[in-house]
This record gives sequence, C-alpha cells and structure tokens, in this order.
Amino acid sequence: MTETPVTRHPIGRVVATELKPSTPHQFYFWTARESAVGIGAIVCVSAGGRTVYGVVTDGSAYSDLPTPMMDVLGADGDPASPPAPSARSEIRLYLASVLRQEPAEPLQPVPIGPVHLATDEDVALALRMEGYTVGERATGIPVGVYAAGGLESPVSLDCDFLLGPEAAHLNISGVSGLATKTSAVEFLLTSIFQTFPAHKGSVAAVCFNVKGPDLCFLDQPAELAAADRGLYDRMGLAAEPFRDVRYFAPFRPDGVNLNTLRTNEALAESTEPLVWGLREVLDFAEVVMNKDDVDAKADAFIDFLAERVVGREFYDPSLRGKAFQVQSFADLDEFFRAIFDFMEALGKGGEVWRTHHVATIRKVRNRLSNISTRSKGLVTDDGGVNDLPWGSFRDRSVQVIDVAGLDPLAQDLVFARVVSKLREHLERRDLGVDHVVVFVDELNKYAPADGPDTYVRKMLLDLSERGRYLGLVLFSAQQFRSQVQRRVVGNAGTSVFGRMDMDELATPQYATLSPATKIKLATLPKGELMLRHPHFTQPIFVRFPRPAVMTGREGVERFPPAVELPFAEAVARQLRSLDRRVSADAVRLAVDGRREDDVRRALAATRRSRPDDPFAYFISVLGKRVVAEPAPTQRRGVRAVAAPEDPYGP
Amino acid sequence: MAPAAGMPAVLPFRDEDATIRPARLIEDAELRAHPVPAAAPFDAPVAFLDGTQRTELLGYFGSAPLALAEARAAVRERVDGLFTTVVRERQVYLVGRRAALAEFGGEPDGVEALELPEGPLHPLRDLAEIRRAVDRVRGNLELAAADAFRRQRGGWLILDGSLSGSPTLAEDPRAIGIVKSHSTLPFDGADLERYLRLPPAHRTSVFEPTPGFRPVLAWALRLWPWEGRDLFHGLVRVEVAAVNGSPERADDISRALLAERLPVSGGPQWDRLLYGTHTVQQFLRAE
Repeated sequence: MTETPVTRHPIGRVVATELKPSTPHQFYFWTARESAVGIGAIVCVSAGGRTVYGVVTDGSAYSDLPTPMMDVLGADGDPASPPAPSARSEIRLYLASVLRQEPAEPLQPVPIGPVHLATDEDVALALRMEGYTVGERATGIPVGVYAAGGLESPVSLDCDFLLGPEAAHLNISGVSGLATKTSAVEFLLTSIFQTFPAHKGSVAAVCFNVKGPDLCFLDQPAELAAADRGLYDRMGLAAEPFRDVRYFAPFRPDGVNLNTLRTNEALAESTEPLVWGLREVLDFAEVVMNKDDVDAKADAFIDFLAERVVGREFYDPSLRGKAFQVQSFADLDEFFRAIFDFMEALGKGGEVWRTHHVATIRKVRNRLSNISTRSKGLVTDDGGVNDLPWGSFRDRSVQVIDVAGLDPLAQDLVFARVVSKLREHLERRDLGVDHVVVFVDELNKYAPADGPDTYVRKMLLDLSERGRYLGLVLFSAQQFRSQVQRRVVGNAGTSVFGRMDMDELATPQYATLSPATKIKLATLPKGELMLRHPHFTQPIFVRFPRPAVMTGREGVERFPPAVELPFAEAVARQLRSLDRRVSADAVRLAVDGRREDDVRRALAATRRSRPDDPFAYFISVLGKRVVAEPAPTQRRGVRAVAAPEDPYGP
Repeated sequence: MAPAAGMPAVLPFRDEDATIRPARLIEDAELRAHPVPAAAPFDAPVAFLDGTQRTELLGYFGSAPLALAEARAAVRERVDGLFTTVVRERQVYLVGRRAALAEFGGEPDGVEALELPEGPLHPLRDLAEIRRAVDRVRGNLELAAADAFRRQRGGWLILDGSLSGSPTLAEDPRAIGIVKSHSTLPFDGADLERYLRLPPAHRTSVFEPTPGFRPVLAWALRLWPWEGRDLFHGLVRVEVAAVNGSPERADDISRALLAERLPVSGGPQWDRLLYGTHTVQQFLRAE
C-alpha cells in the first residue's frame, strides 16, 4: 500500500484535542465550507507511514459566536435586522470511523495529517475488497456503487459471506412504499446470477410473492433511465430481466382459476398451479395447528395417520369390511366417519379407538379438514398434485411462488413445506443446484419478535443458523427489524437498510449508529441503501440501479390480470397453457354437464402427465359421458327364499 | 542563568498613563454630538490589520533578565463577507542587556537580538523595558504589514490603533485607525463630559488629536448604547488622514463603521472590537 500521492488535493485536516482526540477507531477532521464531504463519505489520511481509511459518521458546524446572546444583542433583538458585512468564521468538523489501517499492526491512533476523499482504489482497500474481487477465484458480487464527491466506485459483497459457507443470509429493512426492499433484492439476485463464480457451483432462487404483484413480472424487461444503465455498466452487469423464471400460484376456490395477478394469457405458459394433496399437507400438520393443539396425543394420532393410513392400504374389520385407500381429504373424511360410526355403535365404553381417545381423533379431524377449507385452491380434495420441480432446479433459475391471495395459515403451510423440501433436497444434494436463495418479504409475519413460537418461526431460526452449511440462504425483508425474531436477523451476515422510520431507529438495535447516520437513514432517497457486511467494519452507503425487471405496478398495467373466468373457460385456458392449439369451444363442449370435480381431476392428470396432445389426454381421462337413466319408479318384489324348517319357530 | 517561572505578576504591563492631551477642534466651535445616518457597509473590499506579541522569560544572567519575544502582524481582507489572510509578518527576538545576550551565546537561526538600554540594573524595570521594546517591535511590524498590504491592494485598511504612529498611514486616504483605549483623552471639562456621554450612533465633532505632530484627524463614535453600563462602553476614537476629515466623510466612514459592529466579536472588548479585527486576532493566535 502506498501513501496517498502528495499531488492530490486535500479536502481537510485531522484535528485532535484533549477533548476530541484521535483514537484507533475514530478521528476528527475539518474541511472548507464548500467541501464535498458528507455523512457516509469515505476518506483517507496518509501520514507518518500510516494510511487510515474512514467513513464519515457525524458532522458539526459552529462559529466563533461566544454565546447566542451576543447574536441577539448584535441584531438588537430583531431577527430581521440587516445582515452583517462579515460572515462569521465557521468550522465544519467531521467525525470519521476507521474502516481500515495500514499497517494493521501496531494498531495506533489516527495520525494528524491531511484528509483526502477516497478514490476507486481507496474504496476497494477501505472495504477490504481487494481480497475477494480480484484474481482467478474472485468471489465478489456487485451490490451497488459508493457515490460521493463525484465518485461512483463499485462495491461488492463477498459471496462466501453472502451465500455461504463462511457466513450467509441477507436481511433488508425499510419503510414500505418506496419499493426499495423488493428492488434491492431483485437487483442483487440479478447481480448474483450474473457474477456468481463458476467455481462456487450453481445457484437458484425461490421467491415468495406475499403481496400484490410485487414479484410477478421478473421475466419482463423494464425501461431503464440512462443513469441506471450507467450504474449497470459501472458494475459490469447486463441490464436484463431474469431469463429462467417459473411462477407457481394456487388455484382460487373454484379449482381452475389461478389465485394470482399474473393471469394475463400472454404470460400463461410460465405460470403453473401450485396444488398439493393430503400427503403433502399431513407432513406439515404441525404448521396448521397451534401449540395447544399439538399435544402428545394429537401428535401420536397424526403419526399414526401418516405412517399407517395415508397413502397406504389400511384394513380394520371393525371399521368396515374392505380396506381403506386414503389418498385425499375426502378419503380421510370417510375414514374418520367410519371410526366415529364404530365408536358410536359401541355406545358406553366406546371412547377409545386403538389407544386414541375420541376427543383427540375429533380434534385432529377438525383441524385437518379445516385445512382443505381454508386452503381451498392450494390443497385439493382429489389427490392431484402440481409442485415445484424438486430435483430438477436449474442453475440461475427463479421459482416464484405467489401466495399473496392465500389465507395466512395456507401461506405458513406453503412456506414451511417449500423450505423444508429445499432443505431435504440440499441435504441429499439432489435439488439440481448447489445453492438456493429463498426470498421472503414481511419476515415479521413469519418470525415475529413476540408471539407464539410457531413451527415456521422455529424453521426460520434453524434456516438462519444452519442453512449456510447446506447452501440454503435466506434473503428476508421487513419494514421494522425490531419486530423480527432477533436471532433470525442476527444471523444474517449481510444487513441492508433502506429509508427507515425514526421510531424504529430509536430502538436499541440501532444504538451503534450516530445521530447523523440515523438522520441520513431516515431521509435516504429511493435507490440508496446502507450496508453492513462482514468485510466492512462500518456501515457503508451505496446506490443501486433500478432492477431491470418490470415492477408489479407496471406489469399489471402492461399485462392486466384476466378476469375470473367461468369454469369451462378457465379449464380451456389451463389446457391452452399446455397447448396453444386447444380450442375453447371444444373444451366448453367437453366439460358441459360434467361434474366439476371430475373435470378438475382430469385437468390435474393432464397437467401432471404433460402429454403430447393435452386435449386428447384430458378427454380420455375425463371419460365418456354417462347418460343418466331414470330410476325405476317401482321396485319389483323379490320372492322370499323358501325357508327351511325353522328349529326356533313357533 | 537562573531559571524563571514566568513574568512577575507585579510587572505593570501596558499600564499607560491616563492623560488629557488637548485636541484642536476642526468641526464646530465647541464639541458637539452629530447623529450618524443609518449604518451602511463599505461598498468595496475592506481589510483589517492587527498584531500580537508574546514574551517568554528565559531566565536571568546575574540579575539581568533575558526574554524570547515573538511579534506577529497580519492583514485579512474581506471579500463577499469572507476573510482571507493577505499579509502576515513575524519576528522573533532575544531581548535583554548586552551582557546577558552575550552570555546566552548568540541567537538561534531566525532570531534577532534586541538590546535594552544600559543603566542601573533593576530586574523589574528591565522587564518593563522588555515589554516596551516588544511593543515597539510589534508596532513596527504592524506598520510593515500595512505597507505590504498597500503595495498589493488599494482598498480600505482598518487598523486596531492609532494612525499617528506612522507618517505613511497618517496620510493614507484609505486607512482608518480604531482606538479602543481611552487612557489619553482629547478634552476636559464640559467637552470631556459631552465626549464621554456621546449617545449611541452619534459621532463627535471632528478634531485634530495631535496638533503639530501628524496630519491626522479624529472623532469619537459611539457604537453601542452605554447607559447602564459604562461611559466607555462602545466608544471608539476614529482616526483618518486629513483628506477624510470633512464632516461628510466623517459621516460616511462612521456609517460604515456602525455597520461593522456586526457580527459582534465577543470577548471582553466586544463593544469596541470590530469583528474583522477579531478575526485577525484569531488568526494570529491560531497560527
């Protein structure tokens, strides 16, 4: 490291007094009144064989006015008195926190010397980026540019600390309405997909769309301003949307219209239904039951159902003569009815079936059947399933799961199952990719700081603490970090802050920030962020470009959601997403007069099989139309079998 | 050399004699108070000149004190309300009797010797002589700074002190001396009372403070109300070259000086110390 060339024009000088001394971690310097220095600016001091990089964290200005009273006297008590011919001597005094010292040892107070604004090279050194952004095995992921004093220096995160294994996870906080959180994550995913080094393996993303159309148009390009394009160029990134995006959304309760705002027919091909059956739900029964529900008895009965009944042939002659084949909620309900009929028939003493008390059985039945009610559209009654491509995730692909229209309980269910499945597959190394970024907005809903210790919260905690070893990385966002479980956000190696609410900044979590930094955070413009990253010893402000994907609002304007279609037309649209040649009229004729459940089942089978001729397959599964025959009005009598001699007869 | 802890507290530094030195009235038959029109700042760049001195007693050779003295002077010019230092002067002296200087072994680089007059040796009297000698050095340095400024610039130059010490300044049409000290008063009797009871934003009749010595004219100007404070509160004597001694010029200059009251300089002399002069003092203290 070389000393700052003397030809550079200093913008300030370090000052140290007994009351404001230089220390190894901070120093004061003054500047000219018109200096470009501001809060968040990176500066360097080079003197006495030592170079110190610092970031400005506070500033003050004062004049030589000894007391405010002197100003009152001078103005004769009149604030409107004419201005004085002389401007008072004024100081601009800044406090900078040390980012790095060279040499690092011995660690000493910052020397008295001239202060310079950082150059590109200084920024890289100050943030220790030279260790991971250069060389054949570089691991830098551009996250934005440091912009101050006319400088736009690219700032990169270290993917070893963003996606593991050294550290992982990213959490972003910021007030709603500025689109900063979502935009930042979209941009960062773009950056990751374009720069994640080959030697680190493959990466994909799973994004939960939890509100409106936020993430519904990641595959559509945005119109970017020249300034934004300039930022992409500065970071060496291409301003383009995601190339490989699949959308999953549950059905509406009708089972054929998708419950998402991405229903414009032009986008139908990449939007698939997310449909689960009883088996998919039962493994996560704990998610949908509150803590009081899942006592040891209920847990034991659920285990019994999962291991002995669901998806298996279960035979109990006391219930009925033939075996149960429980595949769906309807089958399960039939099974429960058989149990209750049996116990009622027993009368007194019929309170226990196979060691399970009737109250426990009833409770489990109520809760499980409640799922199919509250999650109608996600959970089918007929056993048909359409799920994420487990085992065949593609490198640099994005799976968006739109849960915005779902009941909160169903959202929990989706979230728990998807993350658990990701974990299972990553543990077995058979997901298809080495790393998965899971993006969850509104983290405060899933892992609140207060409230019951839910399954989802425990799962998120586990993910945040152990996910990095698996390549399972959580990118999470919320308005108020203080309202999220502390350990979940605390485990995020990288923290990002957009514009913050002053009340939030007053909470203890932000006690380490200077008042000036807090003010800057509270007034941060759109497109600027404050970053904490393991390599950065102090928070750094960066500017990032608008993501190159269409915003939700633009997307909805450009691709207006289709109105909820009548049953037959919705089926036709589903089939057309598999084969554009399918005629709506043909589908209408085919489903006319058929039971909707039968149609849904045929549609699910077609989707599952993805045949070459979807319509023909659909028709074949739907079966021939059965013409109803009128029931005979009169039963013919059946002659009694001639009775043998009745030994007990009279 | 016997070491010294510092200047003895008994030394009567700057204890100028309080005297009446009768002046000659130029304007009016008897001293009058003239109201000054509304304050209006100078319409051209203005520079302020001042000097400082610092004396450190090094010790005694026998009974003779030897001191190291530093005098500084600077001119700061104001353009668009902001000050820039345009002239700076500095001199460092070893001050003492010849024998003490010789015994000290010569002057370090950049330091000149300043001999005190010989005579019966009394350490306190010598210390007072040192002080007077350094005063003179500072005064000369201020004059040198004024000359240096005048060689560069033609604007107004406001000095903290009298113009009559320099024949050049005494005739400079753009030099103004602001005398804050009133140890020498120009009138006595009823005139003195009118002089000291001058109302705020008034000036006295123009007078010649040192008749027959330098062609300098002067008037007193009350910058701030004095009632309830002190007769001298806010009272300065303004000295100008004779060319500026007409009543009209006295009014114009007084208006500009009233504008210079702001911003208030602060400190014990805030009522008489112009802010521009204050910034020169700050600069000299900080340098």
